[in-house]
Amino acid sequence: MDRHDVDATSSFVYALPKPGCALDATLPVMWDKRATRFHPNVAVLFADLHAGRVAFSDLITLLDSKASCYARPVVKPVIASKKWEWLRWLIQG
Amino acid sequence: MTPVDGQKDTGQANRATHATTRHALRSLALEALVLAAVILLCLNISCHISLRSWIAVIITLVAAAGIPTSIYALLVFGDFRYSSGGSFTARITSIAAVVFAALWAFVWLALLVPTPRADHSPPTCLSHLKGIGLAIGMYQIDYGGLMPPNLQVLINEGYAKDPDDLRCLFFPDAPPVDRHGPS
Repeated sequence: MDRHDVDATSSFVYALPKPGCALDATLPVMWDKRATRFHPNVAVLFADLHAGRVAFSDLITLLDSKASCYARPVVKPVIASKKWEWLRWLIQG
Repeated sequence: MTPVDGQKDTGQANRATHATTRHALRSLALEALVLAAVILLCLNISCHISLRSWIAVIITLVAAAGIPTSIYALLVFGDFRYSSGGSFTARITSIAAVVFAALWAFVWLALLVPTPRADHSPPTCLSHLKGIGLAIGMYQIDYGGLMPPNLQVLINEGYAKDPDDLRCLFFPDAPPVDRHGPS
């Protein structure tokens, strides 16, 4: 299969930083598109390429504060639908 | 045996069957009630139980919650069946059954529930992000420290070995990313 035929369908948001912006540990570049209402932590990849979990509200605040560092307006994570919320809650352990 | 005796026997058998059915239904209802209470409690105290543990708890409840309730019914009525009707004793027995079943459920939960995790997002999402981080790192080495313009580049140029790394297992219906730039 040609790799170009593969669609990079993703559960994550990727945000390209502006060239002049510092690629440090405080700048998120990828994160979950969704969070759960029960435990709203979001997996985040920072610009220094370390990954960690950040509280949903903290990530929103962080994205707002770093808005000037992105080439385009970013898509913020949202709370998942009830269906996936329950599925995720049941499966994880 | 006269026909009247036969009718009596049939009547007694029917009553016994109905009593057994009532017992079974009431046991199931009690167990469902207890399970619902446990789930609600878990939601409140944020404990996390894997699907395997839930199955074990449910099977255990269904299989074993009847034992203490039956013993209690035996002690109270001299019979394994519940008392029919809404007498005070029957209500007490029902309450005792709920208490016993709840105790049983919590003993099993205490055994099965792992230590609550401080961090609750699925491990696969984070590990996939770490994998993508490595892919971006390799891209940066090849492109003088530049970030990839989009995720598709990582796929097309072979930095991301497995496209499924771009998915979070728990949200498989996520819409596609922008193929021509950041989101």
